[in-house]
Amino acid sequence: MKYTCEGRRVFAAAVREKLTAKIEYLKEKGAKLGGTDPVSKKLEEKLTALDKMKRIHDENYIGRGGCGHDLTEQIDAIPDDGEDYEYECPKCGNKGSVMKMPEDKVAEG
Amino acid sequence: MPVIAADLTVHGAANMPEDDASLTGGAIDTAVQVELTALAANDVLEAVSDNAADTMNLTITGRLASGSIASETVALNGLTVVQFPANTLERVLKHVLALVAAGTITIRRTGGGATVATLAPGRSSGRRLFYASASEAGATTRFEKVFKKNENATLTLNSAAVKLTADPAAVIRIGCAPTKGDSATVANRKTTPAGVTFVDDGVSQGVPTGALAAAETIGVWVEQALGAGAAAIKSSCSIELAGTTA
Repeated sequence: MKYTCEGRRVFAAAVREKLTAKIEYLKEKGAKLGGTDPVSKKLEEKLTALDKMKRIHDENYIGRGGCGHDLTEQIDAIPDDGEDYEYECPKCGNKGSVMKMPEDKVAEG
Repeated sequence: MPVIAADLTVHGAANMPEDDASLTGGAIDTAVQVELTALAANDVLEAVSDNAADTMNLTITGRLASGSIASETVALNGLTVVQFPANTLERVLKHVLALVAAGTITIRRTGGGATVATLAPGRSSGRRLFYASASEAGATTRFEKVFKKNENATLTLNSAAVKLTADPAAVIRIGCAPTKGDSATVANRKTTPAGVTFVDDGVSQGVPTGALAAAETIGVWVEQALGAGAAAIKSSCSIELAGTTA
């Protein structure tokens, strides 16, 4: 089986911060040009949409950043003993947990 | 015409337990649906079909605000909306038809409110995973099985992979069955299935052989890990099957 990294978690605060900075930059740029910048208006709409979402708390996780690194080798090397192990993506640093059960064993909780 | 999202469906397994002692997993059961939308607020429900032939009994079971489980059975009336007035539910646990649906049956909040579930023609029940499960004095791990299916008539889904796309309560991991179209069971939902690698939402897991041909299915085991004495949660998870079309 192939395992692919989905990237690090993206939190609401980070997205908001990024969008706000872009809006400010484009507004300034637009003002220098003597009009309203259409791109900054679009970004502002995005920010409003994000705020409308229920996940407005800064620490709320709103998705994965996307990475695509192949983790197959790393996960295949994890022992299949029913224990929890941690993986770390060498490309993006995403960390998570893996548990593998052997083919011929079952564990009762 | 490529494989589209509507071709990739989700189904239940033959054994979906309601306690910690019953057999769990098995082969795909295409009559069982495992998709529900949470109620935004406690409410009574209503149901309606888009086919006049749907006049069989429908039983809706859910949790009341008090935490206790209650059921109500009402005969459907085809295209006419019927009410389930007895119970104001905090969440729906399952809905079971006496016969398979002829049309699409919609279960929703009363007064034409938000849809909680739809039962497509040929389906006979829908349910929530980990029915009536609760935390215990020690950490508790349970497993249930669902299936993803490529319903496209001819095309193969290449680079097919499953991933957990939402797990707001952070209690879920998933793992593909070791072979496609399998019928493996475990003795009960507290038994870990053999040969399965469970990963969290940070990793997508390719299906065995990397492709899902037309009509092929892949079992996906879902792990729910509750901490010792953990507080009650009302949450959901989303599992995605994705790939490419040649």
